[in-house]
Amino acid sequence: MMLLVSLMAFWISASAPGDPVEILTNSGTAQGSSNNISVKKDIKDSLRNKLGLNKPLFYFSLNSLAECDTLHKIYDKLTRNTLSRLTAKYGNWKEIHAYYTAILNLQQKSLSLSADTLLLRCAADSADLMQKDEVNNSLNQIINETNSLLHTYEHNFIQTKIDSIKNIIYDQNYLNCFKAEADNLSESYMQMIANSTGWKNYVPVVRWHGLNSQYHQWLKNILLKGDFGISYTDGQPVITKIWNKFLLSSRLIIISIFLAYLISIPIGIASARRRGSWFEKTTGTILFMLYSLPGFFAGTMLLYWFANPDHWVWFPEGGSQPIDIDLSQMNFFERFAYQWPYMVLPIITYTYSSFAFISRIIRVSMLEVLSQDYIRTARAKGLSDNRVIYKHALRNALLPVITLFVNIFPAAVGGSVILETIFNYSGMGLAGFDAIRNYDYPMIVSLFTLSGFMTMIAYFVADLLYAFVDPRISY
Amino acid sequence: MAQIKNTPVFIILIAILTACGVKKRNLSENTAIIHIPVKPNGLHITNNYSGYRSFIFEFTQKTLLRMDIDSLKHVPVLAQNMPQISNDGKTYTFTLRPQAKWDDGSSITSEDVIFTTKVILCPLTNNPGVRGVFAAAIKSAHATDDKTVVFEMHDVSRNNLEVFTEMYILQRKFWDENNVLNSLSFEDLYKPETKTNPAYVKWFENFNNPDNSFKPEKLIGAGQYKLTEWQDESHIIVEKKKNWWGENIKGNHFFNKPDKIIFKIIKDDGAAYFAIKNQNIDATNRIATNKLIKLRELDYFNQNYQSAFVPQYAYNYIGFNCKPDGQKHKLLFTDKKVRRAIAHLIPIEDMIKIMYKGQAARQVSMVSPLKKEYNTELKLIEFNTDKAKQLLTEAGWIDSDGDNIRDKIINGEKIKFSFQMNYMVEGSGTKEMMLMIKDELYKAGIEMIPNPLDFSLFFKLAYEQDFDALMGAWLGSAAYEDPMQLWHTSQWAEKGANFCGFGNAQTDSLIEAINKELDDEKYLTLIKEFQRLVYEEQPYVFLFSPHAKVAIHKRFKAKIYSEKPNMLVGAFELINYSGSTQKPLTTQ
Repeated sequence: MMLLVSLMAFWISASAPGDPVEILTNSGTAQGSSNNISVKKDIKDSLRNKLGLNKPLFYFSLNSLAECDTLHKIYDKLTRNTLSRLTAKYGNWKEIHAYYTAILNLQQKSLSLSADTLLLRCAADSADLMQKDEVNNSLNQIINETNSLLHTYEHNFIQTKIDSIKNIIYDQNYLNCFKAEADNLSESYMQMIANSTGWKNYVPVVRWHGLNSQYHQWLKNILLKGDFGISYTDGQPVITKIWNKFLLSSRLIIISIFLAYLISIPIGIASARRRGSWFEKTTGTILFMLYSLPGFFAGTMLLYWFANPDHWVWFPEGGSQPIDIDLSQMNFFERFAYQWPYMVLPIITYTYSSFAFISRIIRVSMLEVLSQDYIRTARAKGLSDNRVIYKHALRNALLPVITLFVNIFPAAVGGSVILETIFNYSGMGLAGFDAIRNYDYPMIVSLFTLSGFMTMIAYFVADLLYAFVDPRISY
Repeated sequence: MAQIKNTPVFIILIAILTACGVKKRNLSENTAIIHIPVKPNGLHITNNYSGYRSFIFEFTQKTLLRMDIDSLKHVPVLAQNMPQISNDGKTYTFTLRPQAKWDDGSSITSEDVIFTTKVILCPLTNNPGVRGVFAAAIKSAHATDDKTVVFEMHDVSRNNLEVFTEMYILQRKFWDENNVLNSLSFEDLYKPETKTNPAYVKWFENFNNPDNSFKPEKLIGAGQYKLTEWQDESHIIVEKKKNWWGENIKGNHFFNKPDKIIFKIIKDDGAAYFAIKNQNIDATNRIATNKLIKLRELDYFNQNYQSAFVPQYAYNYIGFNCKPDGQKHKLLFTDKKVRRAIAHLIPIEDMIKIMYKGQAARQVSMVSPLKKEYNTELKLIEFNTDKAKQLLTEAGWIDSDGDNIRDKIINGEKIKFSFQMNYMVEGSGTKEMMLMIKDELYKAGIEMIPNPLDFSLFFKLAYEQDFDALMGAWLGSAAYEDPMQLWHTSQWAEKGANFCGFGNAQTDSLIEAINKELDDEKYLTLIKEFQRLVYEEQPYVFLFSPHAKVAIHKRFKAKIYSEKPNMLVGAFELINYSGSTQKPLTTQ
């Protein structure tokens, strides 16, 4: 099961949009120049090697005969996508590679030549500033169009860009030195179309990559080292980031769920015992009203009333602990005493909506159990009502509640985005939300894998509890 | 059994009661708590470059020069005086302050400065986003003695001084104990063999390690405060150093009045609002406009805090794709008449009034009206639907089929004037502004489809030039702003920040001339001319500059500034504050 979860998590990570290397090198804000581009490429190549992104994805790959088996070595994700789409369309990797090389040649040349060099070449070094800027302008247009070809795979778009490049080059004498590269680009594109072998896409080929694959490396790191990789947003180990937030979130969720059961079960039992009474009607109405209150509204209201100098300042307005007191030297109980006030309002917000749900389930379950023959027998034997309820009926009525209990563990990993935002409580919910917003896939995948793992643990615990409350169940 | 039934109620009541009662914050303590809305993505001295990193570095690190928040001029910090500039304008000589010392007592020397320069320029350092700025200015550096450093610059440029205000100096002995980089010359920095030299590769791998961005013991610097604690998403604490070397030096960059500064990270506006009400934050410049307006309605807030909406160096804009590919993105905005027509259709005054409650100022140029460079001759573009319609008709956009959407035959194809406008969902009130614009454009026969995107995707599409139009914002500063990055055609060609594709040979040459002009009068003429050209071409509709929202607790004597971060926290002087409030903090 965990293997399946890991496969799914890895698949999400590998097929996600965005390039981890781009994010890690902060390229989004980089200013370009030919020097910078090669510099960025060096760092990117080094990072790709470090992250193992230059390896094949899985132990084996199922490709078509047309596909290149080393495409993963191209560092730019969008370029890989372009080449992959061109392969799917034309099926002739040799010609596609020639076309790709022609683009790179033109790109390299246009980046390596400055306006001054071009003017010198056409013996116009006495040209005024204006003329130099015109050269620059043309050069920039060539660079832009060439770069965009690396990300273009539709015929009309490619043709327009190639025509545009050729027009610019043929229009100006000082761009003569680009003619060979431009002609080569145009020719290689025509060759790619003319020698199309689309049928190769229909011939499947299985390629074996062995243990030298990204998935193997990923799985090995998790299983042997507990290493989920590094976060794309700040380069920190994911496991370190998750652990602190997990502790914060899980203590809230566990206490909340414990309280929810502590309150809901007696209410459910009492409602079943006093079916149709004013107690059942009143608690039912109140609990359903609470159930219908959205968490963000209740949270804000709690802050408004109990953390606001306009009303009462009974609790802190947010955070998870006081920031002006050093808690690191304190023992668990001392620390908890400082942290507890920060947890009360979030816990209430987490908890109240569960009251109606759990108490109703207990009530229905209890009513069903109370109508059983063995309960009638117990009553007939003269046992007190409390003894019948708590000794004989409750254990059997708890079975559906145990099923609900399974949700606790994954919930501890999931956290709650809205409540953590309102109470400025940086737990797993906000971590997950930020990870999604920043395309931080190692974080997302780790949360996903942990959630799957916790669900399995929860089922295991639930199975043990079933056997505990109902001796008829055995494994 | 009754006891059992009541047990949960008792437990919960006791638990809640024990939690009740917030420990009252001691407002007489000399600790300043500053609100920041996001944690910095790291505090690596060379490799991280978020805005909040600079805010915190103001206290923990030092540069040779810095922009003074008060006079808005460059002032020496680690340097004894402003640099001596050679006649050709290409050599900058700095003399370091004799008293400048690292935490271990050793002097800050020219060796440290040269080491820092090498690290910043070396391609093996993971700082691609800023290296280009330094590399474009600095050619090399050498020492003439322990306290004198000479920088050779590539060219004469107004930008040259700016690079020294962002170069935080590293301690060579701490980062390179074995002096590995000593053998690396400036000439060798860019050689291919440097990138493969195992000793250098290993050193830089260690230097680029993310631990150096987060672990307090790695975040050392020459500043007056030392970073002592970083609790992930909660807070960052810096504490005043004892006997700091700059204590007796006068100047805004040498203040160390608060004993401790805590940067409290609060992402949600509502949570920040309650934190200010409870006086748990001493200063903020990132509270939402509507929240500060609400706070200013409270007497006790006004008694406890000084607050202001201050003009700042930032602007919001609508950008057009002036050089689209013509296929995925149609040729809608290639004609400047069309771009001007759109400018006439944006209800900027209404947007300021409704969304910013009047707390924003209009501008028609990329230069802030706060600067003397601002071209005051450029008139605000008035909201005028009729004029817009006329311009659109002149540009050939007419409603030929009576569907209320204008169209035009371009390259034999009938194109409807319908486009997507990208905007960031994170921006408060942006959606509402988009709807206001959409309504006005429709009245003139243009269909605009708002396209909400998250921050990363918005910029990804912008840099890929994959958009029709977009609404964005740039944050500037009082310092010299090089127009190259946003407006030079090279930045369009290489997919830089000129994603709108503005520019031609004339504007490029003007930008280069502006950068090289050191004579202030001539510079003013050139920059104003450049603004005029941008105004005429209208690649952007400059919307407005939202005011910064600043609140500072009155227990500190402090001043509010236009330049970010709008306050001088080091100069916060604790005064004998009575704490008298109408709504004092209550303990239950």
